[in-house]
Amino acid sequence: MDDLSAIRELLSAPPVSPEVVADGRTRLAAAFASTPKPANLKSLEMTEETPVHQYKRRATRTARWTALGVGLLGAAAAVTLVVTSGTSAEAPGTRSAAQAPSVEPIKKLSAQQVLLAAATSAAKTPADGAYWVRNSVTGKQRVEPGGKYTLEMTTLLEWWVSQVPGKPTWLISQNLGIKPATPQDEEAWRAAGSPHSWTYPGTTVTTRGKSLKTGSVTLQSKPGEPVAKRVDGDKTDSSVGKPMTRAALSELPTTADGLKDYLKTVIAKQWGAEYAHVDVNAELYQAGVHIIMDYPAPPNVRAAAFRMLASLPGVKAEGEVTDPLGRTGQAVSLPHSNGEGRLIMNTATGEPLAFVTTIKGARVFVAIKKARWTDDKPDLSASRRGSDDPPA
Amino acid sequence: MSALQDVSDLPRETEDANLLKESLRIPERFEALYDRYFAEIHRYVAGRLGTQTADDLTAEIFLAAFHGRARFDAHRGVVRGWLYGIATNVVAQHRRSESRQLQTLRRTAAEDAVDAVDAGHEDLVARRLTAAGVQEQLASALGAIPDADRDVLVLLALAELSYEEIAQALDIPPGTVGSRLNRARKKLRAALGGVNPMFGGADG
Repeated sequence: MDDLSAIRELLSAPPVSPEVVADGRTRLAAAFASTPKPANLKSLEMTEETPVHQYKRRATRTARWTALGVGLLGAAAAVTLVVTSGTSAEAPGTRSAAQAPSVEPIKKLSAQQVLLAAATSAAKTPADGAYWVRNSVTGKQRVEPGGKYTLEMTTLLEWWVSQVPGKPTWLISQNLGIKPATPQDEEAWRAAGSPHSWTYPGTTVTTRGKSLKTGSVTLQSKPGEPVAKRVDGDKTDSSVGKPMTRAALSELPTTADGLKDYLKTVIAKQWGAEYAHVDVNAELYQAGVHIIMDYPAPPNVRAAAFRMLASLPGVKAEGEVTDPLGRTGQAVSLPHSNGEGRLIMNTATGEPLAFVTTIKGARVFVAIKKARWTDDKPDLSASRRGSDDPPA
Repeated sequence: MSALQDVSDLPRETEDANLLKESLRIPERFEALYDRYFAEIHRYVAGRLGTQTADDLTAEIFLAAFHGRARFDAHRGVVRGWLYGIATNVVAQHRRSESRQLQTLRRTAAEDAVDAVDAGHEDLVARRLTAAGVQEQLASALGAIPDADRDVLVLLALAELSYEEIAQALDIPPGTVGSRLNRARKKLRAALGGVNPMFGGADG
């Protein structure tokens, strides 16, 4: 008997009684009944609204500072790395490194140079406007049901965070569809007859004599409609129980050392007794990337985050690369035990382009199309088309 | 962890994520997730805290999940793992019940051993003694390892979550899952090696 089976046996419990299930369902139904229905988007213009939901915060450990949308799923696909002769992030990527073998030697900036250049640019970014809008594409890869090629699913996410504290944040999301991940995958996909849907069979899970059959699921290649949802308050995420509201962000330290010390206390608090086993360097890297990528932090805080990244040991330059959306930028990376986390940025503007995480060869990316302050308003009329609200 | 293994997880996880998303607009959709996972979450909590406590707490876990459903991020993990994460947080708030439960299990195993001796039949006695001995040792070894390591080990054993899903459920890096498991299993083996030579043969 192996140890896991032994634990299963030791901790085995009799099946739950039907009364307990029924009782829980009644309590849940009461919660449904007392949940205000989200008002139809039609009636929710961008006016003052009282919060609809007061979401209960998870009691103990709240969301870690992992980069938004970075999961661990999917199959391998290498990041296309295009080396050009240019040294500036502004240089257009020629994508044809092979065609010009005799150009001047490649001058590769150090990770510190890249990050400090980005910091200088980031510090100059304007931070005025009614809303902070962040439009990103998240990509995740999956092997198709037959295991012959890899699919890539992409999702568009657009956050609108109001300048005014307490005003609702809007999240517009859209399934951008599913495609073969790489040209090789596309070839295999054609060979398989270019299907536009993939059905994964259901599975039977047997646990303690009870078996549970799950239904099959079919994925469609076609994109979905945009759907808007309101997130109350101006928080975009939280860390150690502290929502990253605009106020919280504006209180973050504005020097590299200050930010590092602050984040260390955050990490120590999150991990408690486990702190001794934590790779603090890797955690700081993630936290820094998170501030740069995911939050409407003030320009000087973002600059401090870039400078803090520059100060971390082990962060190495990757030179000029193309990001998952085909844009060129300078990249730095930090390896971890199972792969690496790569930040691709435009050093001239201080804008992050993408964060690509590779874990055991699997890749997940978040690419930012725009992240800036604006006086524009979220296009909720567009999202109404995709609304599947029940009739009012 | 092969990519193909991921495939078998896909159908249910996509469906779950859709249900959860829909439940933001139509709360009643959440009931499907309740029906699907109540029994196994209850079994997990009962294994760790005892049936009676699980009867009281499992509904709480689902209520907490329902109220926190807007915070679930499909890009970060699967609904099933997320529920186990919430359940584990609740277990963490009841560590005293957990250690009481482990003591009970140890006592029960010891009593089983006594029963085995009473039962006669030499070979049967020997087998049951060994089994009871393993259980007794295992219960005390489990009680002795750090809480965070035990959480990971028990999630792997009872919930049969993958390393990645455990990482997502507990909001820790996958590398930490691995190191906690190694630590925990090493200690279990050290504590149990003398009892059952077969123990520890299948290593993750």
